[in-house]
Amino acid sequence: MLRLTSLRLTNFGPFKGDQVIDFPEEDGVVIVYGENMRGKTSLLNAIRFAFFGRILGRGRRDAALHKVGNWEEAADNQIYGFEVSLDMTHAGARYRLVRTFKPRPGVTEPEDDGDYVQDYFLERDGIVLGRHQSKIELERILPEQIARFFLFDGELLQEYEDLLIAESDMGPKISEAIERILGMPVLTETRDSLTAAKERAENRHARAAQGDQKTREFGNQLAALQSERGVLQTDLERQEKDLDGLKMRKTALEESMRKMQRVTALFDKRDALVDDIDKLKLRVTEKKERLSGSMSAAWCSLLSERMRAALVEMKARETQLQTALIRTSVLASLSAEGETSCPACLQPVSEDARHRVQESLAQHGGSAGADEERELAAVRRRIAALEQFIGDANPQALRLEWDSISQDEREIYAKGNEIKVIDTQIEDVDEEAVRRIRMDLESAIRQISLLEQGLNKTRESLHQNGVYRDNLQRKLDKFSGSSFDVERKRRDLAADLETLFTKGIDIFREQLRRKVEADATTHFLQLTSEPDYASLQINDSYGLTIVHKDGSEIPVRSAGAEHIVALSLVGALQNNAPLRGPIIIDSPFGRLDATHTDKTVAALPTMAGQVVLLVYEDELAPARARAGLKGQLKSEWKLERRSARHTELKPRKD
Amino acid sequence: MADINDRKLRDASISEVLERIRAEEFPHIDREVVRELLRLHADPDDADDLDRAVDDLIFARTGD
Repeated sequence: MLRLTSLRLTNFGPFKGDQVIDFPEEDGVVIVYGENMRGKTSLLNAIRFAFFGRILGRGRRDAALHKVGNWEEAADNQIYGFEVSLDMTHAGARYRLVRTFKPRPGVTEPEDDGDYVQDYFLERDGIVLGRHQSKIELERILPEQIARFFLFDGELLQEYEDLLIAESDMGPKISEAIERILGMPVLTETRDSLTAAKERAENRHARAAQGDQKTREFGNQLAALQSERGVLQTDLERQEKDLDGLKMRKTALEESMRKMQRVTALFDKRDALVDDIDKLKLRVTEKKERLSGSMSAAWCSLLSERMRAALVEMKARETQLQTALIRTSVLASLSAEGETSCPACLQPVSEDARHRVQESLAQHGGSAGADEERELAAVRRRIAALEQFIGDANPQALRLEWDSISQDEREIYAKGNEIKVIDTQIEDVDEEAVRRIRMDLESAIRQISLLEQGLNKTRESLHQNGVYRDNLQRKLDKFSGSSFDVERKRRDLAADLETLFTKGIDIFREQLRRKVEADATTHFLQLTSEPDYASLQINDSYGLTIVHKDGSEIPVRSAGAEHIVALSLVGALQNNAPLRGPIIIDSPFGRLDATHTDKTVAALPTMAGQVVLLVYEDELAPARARAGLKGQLKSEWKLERRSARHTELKPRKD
Repeated sequence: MADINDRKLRDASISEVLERIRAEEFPHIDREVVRELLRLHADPDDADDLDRAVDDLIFARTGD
């Protein structure tokens, strides 16, 4: 079992100068208390740096190392870089791992990681190992692929939820890491190596067949197929590697998007508002065009009252003129010679009366009706024009159109104001960067889809190739010959061994899943405060679902429950892994209530021999920790502030 | 055929699982070959050497 015995930091993050934390060489829990920004995450990263030469920033991404050196030393004394020295025991041997990050010779004011050089050395029982041997030993002591089960924080615990999501990108990575810690690679690597050995044997078999005249044709065809197979396999490996890279990229981009969720929601809303305003503006333009058409006659409505009065006047005048003209016409008929009766009443007209009418007409002018006739025509034209204008003017319809335009304009104004509010909320956000992340994510999703299609095609081609090859081999197997008989035997042995290991993998994997499920359930029942929860159920990817005592699955769980389940899994993996080591957790109780915190504290010693907790006091009060752990609490440390850029590691004695 | 529901197999180590499958389904394969393969892959140093070692193991068992 791997056990840390001491960690020495030199100018690592806030740990100015040389600072040391010693860990007891017996099973139990060590607690390091530190408020926010005092250096708890830096301690976790220091251990990560010592083992793997890199540190993690937010979003599980590699962080720049040149920013890790102590700021005060750099500013006051121009001392750049840092060093971490880790003492540990493993498999009966004592190790010291020292890793440094120092400015390159000649660089006085380093600006980025390229201005530094990283180096490390490993001692085993006081003897410095060579570079190659050190690499092998470190890979044996703590492979980076399984570091997540030893060094973690709440963010990492949350990722285990992905094991329950079939289409997640992170899930398969975690499953792979779980199989690695459980020792599956010995089996899978042997199986892969036997697959390769079988193919080499097939190649030799084909070459042997090419050397014999009666099997040459089959041999040639087999060699061609195997050559094609080699190309397809290279393609497949490349595509799988590319897909892996793209999925990692997609996961990182999704993480960035999640962090920017609020900002992206604001950008989305802003985009929708801009879109709405554009549509409203178009609608207003169309309405104004319609209104403009109606407006050519609309001025009439402004004069409609006066026009109606004029129309009444004109119609009255028309009546007067019509009457006058009829009278004139009647008088003219009465005065006409030979006319003996009145054209209006048909009574006989005397000669005397006729003369009087003639005298009156002569006296008042016989053309008295001509002016009235002209005036009547003019009056009638005016009446027609007035009636037309009054008919064209529809003020009610115009008013409705105006109201609708005003409504749209008010909406445009309101949406414009909303955009201004959003703009103030996102003024410090690099809009371009957000859009770039979104575009990159969309691009990654498209590329993944294309690559998956390509992968399927390559797999199909490989399958077809395998079918042709098997057919040819069956034909070839009917022939005998000393050289290819030997190669055939080798091929068959490799194939049988490959099948044996494949079956072994299936059985061993199922066996491990059951053990992990049982142990995770034991831990979970210790940790949970819910008496109705009966067990955890494991899926093919090692994802764990909570099962109610009535047998139903609990479909949704809180972030706190997720942490409890994840801790149960980590504990179960530690129980079943050939490689065991310390659990070092940064702020593990942030999402847990007091009861779950107490239960977790009490259960931690059962999960690993050595546990190091990096906590703040509100998360886990010292009195609570001491009461929960009792004799299992081996030592307590605190991170004391000297300045914003200087923290001291001190044993806690209060 | 080896079955995970078999109580003995459930708690077996990797080598025990493989030995059970070998004995039941591949009795013509020498148990030492399986053990040697596991040993070779438990601590691989060099991929090229490993390929050669696996080939040598197979050659040795096929009368070469």
